[in-house]
Amino acid sequence: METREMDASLRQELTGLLSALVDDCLDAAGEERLGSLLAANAEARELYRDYLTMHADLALRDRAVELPAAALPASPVLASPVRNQSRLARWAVFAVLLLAASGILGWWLGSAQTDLRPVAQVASVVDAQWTADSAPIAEGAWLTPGVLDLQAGQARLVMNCGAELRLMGPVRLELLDSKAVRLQAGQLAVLAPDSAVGFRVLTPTADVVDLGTEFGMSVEADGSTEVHVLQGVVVARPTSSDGVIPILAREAGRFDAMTGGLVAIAWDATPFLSAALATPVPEAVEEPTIPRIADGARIIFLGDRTTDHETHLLMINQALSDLPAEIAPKLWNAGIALPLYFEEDDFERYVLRFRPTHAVLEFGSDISLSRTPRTQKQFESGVTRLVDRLQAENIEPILQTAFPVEHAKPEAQELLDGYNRFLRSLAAERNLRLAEVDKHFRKAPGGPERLVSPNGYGPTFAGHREMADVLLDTLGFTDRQADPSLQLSLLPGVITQWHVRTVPEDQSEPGDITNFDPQDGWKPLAIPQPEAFSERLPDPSHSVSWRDRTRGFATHLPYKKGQRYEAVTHITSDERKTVTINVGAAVQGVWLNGKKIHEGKPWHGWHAGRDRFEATLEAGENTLVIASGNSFFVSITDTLDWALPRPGE
Amino acid sequence: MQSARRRFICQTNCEFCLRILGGRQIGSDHAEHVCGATLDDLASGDGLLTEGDPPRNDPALFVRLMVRHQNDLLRYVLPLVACLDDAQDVVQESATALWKKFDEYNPDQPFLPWAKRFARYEVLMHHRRRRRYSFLTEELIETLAEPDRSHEEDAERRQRVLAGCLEKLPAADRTLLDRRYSDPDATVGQLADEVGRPANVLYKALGRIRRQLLECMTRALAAPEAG
Repeated sequence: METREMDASLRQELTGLLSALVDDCLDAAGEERLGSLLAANAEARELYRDYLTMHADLALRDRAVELPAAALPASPVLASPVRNQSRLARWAVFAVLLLAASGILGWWLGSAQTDLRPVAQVASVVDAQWTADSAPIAEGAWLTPGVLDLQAGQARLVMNCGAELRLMGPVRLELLDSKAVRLQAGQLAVLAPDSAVGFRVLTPTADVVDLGTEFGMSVEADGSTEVHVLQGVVVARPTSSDGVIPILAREAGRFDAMTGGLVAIAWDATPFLSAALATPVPEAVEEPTIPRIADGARIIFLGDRTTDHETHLLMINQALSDLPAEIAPKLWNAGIALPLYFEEDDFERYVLRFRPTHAVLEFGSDISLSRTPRTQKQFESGVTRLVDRLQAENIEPILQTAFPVEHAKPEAQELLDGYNRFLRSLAAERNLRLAEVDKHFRKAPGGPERLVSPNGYGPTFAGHREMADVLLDTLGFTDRQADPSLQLSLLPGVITQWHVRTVPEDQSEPGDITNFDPQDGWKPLAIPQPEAFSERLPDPSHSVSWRDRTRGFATHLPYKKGQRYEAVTHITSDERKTVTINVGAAVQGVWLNGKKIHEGKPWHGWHAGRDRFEATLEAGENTLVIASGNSFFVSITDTLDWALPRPGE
Repeated sequence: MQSARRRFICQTNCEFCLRILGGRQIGSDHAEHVCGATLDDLASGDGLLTEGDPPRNDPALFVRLMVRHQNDLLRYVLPLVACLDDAQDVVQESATALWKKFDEYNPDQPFLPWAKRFARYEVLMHHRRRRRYSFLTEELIETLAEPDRSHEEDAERRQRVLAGCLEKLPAADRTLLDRRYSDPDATVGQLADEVGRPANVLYKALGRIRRQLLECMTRALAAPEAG
């Protein structure tokens, strides 16, 4: 029955339910009770509306999205504090994207109007040589809309909206209004504080709108344009297209004059950083100096699935690819193969035999997402035992907080928060290096939703880059950053020619197979397998299957339930010799010349060289047979002591 | 000529706009209602339709109206979906729909009620796509979506009252609330980790603080406004 009044106890009950609702902890019974109260009572509905409106007001405090006071009709912008990466703040950014996608950005184009009021002031000049039609321009001069032609030297302008422009001669720039310029040729760095959100740079091929950021742009003779974002986000649109694309920090894009398109390119801010002029160095971040890891360190990575797939390890290797071999650290992977709750045999096989000097512990996310996650106490005792064991062998442990998964499974995040807290305290207590993946993921543009897969199982490509950057910093390579694209090649010693067939899972073990009659189901398989779909992507290296296949994994072989694969290859050797056979993915057993030489354990990792064992090749032809699931990796090397190769090695 | 180009044309040709052009002061609410511009806009010569600009499909006008009213729309939508994230999504979807239909908007009329009609429809679509809370039946949403003048007209006053009530909270409570809302997406579990207190204690504390705030606001809003 509909009622009007509520007594004090009912009011209290309702506010309790509403508090649980806004803090996202209202259970089913509470929800049912809330529904019945709201259905029956007008005052309850009023209270509900008051409460939720107050909740919105609290969330919106200090986040007013305002028009800048000096906005001109030509440059309407949404000035919002985009550096605060809360969802609410990001919302404003997305609103801009939405409006842009709706065609409004197109309206911006060409809308700048001629105005004779000053739009910028010259803050400083160094050895500046201006052409006749724009010279001489001294420090402190006010500039009205028009063309500036700086032939040599440097100049720093501050636009009326607050954006700071650093010009490096030769550069030709047209000031359109206080929030827009057209870069006709040369290069320019822009530092746009929040007050200048919406600052816009036009070029012959690009239209770039700043959303609170620092970025560099250069325009070539044919109009092709590059933009390199140092901080924050810009929205970019090729002038030949209606599509807008956000470019985030440490990403770069090229607007090609020939094709009219925008493609991702390697980020390189160096040319723009050189334009620092006599300006104050932008906010020096007070971070403790992390000493660089010793030359030639041997680092083994221990952890879960993310470690096992080793994308961030490849990125670290690539970021250090120019270092001499004796300086660059060498990386090994023991992801999954060595579980957190390890047996001593495993420790010897997967850790000690590689004689590491350092071990990165990347455990946490998978454990928390497991159906039977470890308690805080179990995690603490597991990590402590592993750290003790490493330190007993003079291997320096490097701890790493786990990437956030709350968007996938909030209850797992509660566990992870506890795990991470422990890792931080252990690092402080034992004075260990700590890679703060958790904190960096939360601070990065787009946050965990961009950097971690929706199901929480692993980082996205961008997430791996963030993880690689954090690790590079932690290892003391603070001047290095991961590239946006991976250069990969076949791993050393990969066997590239096979015959494969499926057999029933319970078929007896293969012996010495010499006959490959197609009637028996044998088909040839060449490694690397092509990956046509990934190759159509703008950057195939962002595809997991392309990465695996390019490095020599056989993957996604046709497969039916109840089947397994047999694969056979012939190896010719000039002499009788001892080699190392390295396997990965779903290899279950290996036979050489009819004799079983390896039996894989149930699933214990994917990475190449997960299991390495010695074998003797006879002079002449040898037959190698494997049993596996529908993916495998096999290579033969002279030694088991091979680290993950850097590009070019 | 600049002065001619910037001659304001108010759709209603209202005397208040003419007065501000003559340098006289008017209330900002009325200026906004009638002309779609704030007093500051009028004073700076920004934000009004100018001669020669088409009154409709003007992206500048749309952007300004959206920016000005998106928080009002969020306040309107939140009780209808009960989750900030979802409310933001609905406002974004509403913005798209509003832009598509902007040529049907009559600038003589206030923007917010027009925009709310779209938001209400987007709320229903949102619930059909994803029903997060079973207590929000279509019938209840219809009831809650009815215009409520006390919420519509008092947004500014509510903000002032909220600020006053926050001032009255003990410093520790205010700090906790600030942290809770500094990132509204963060969970109470994360907050508990940060402040080193059990989550259930924080749930209770936040419930108590919000109750006190609401009581304070209810009292203050019921009283006539000073000044």
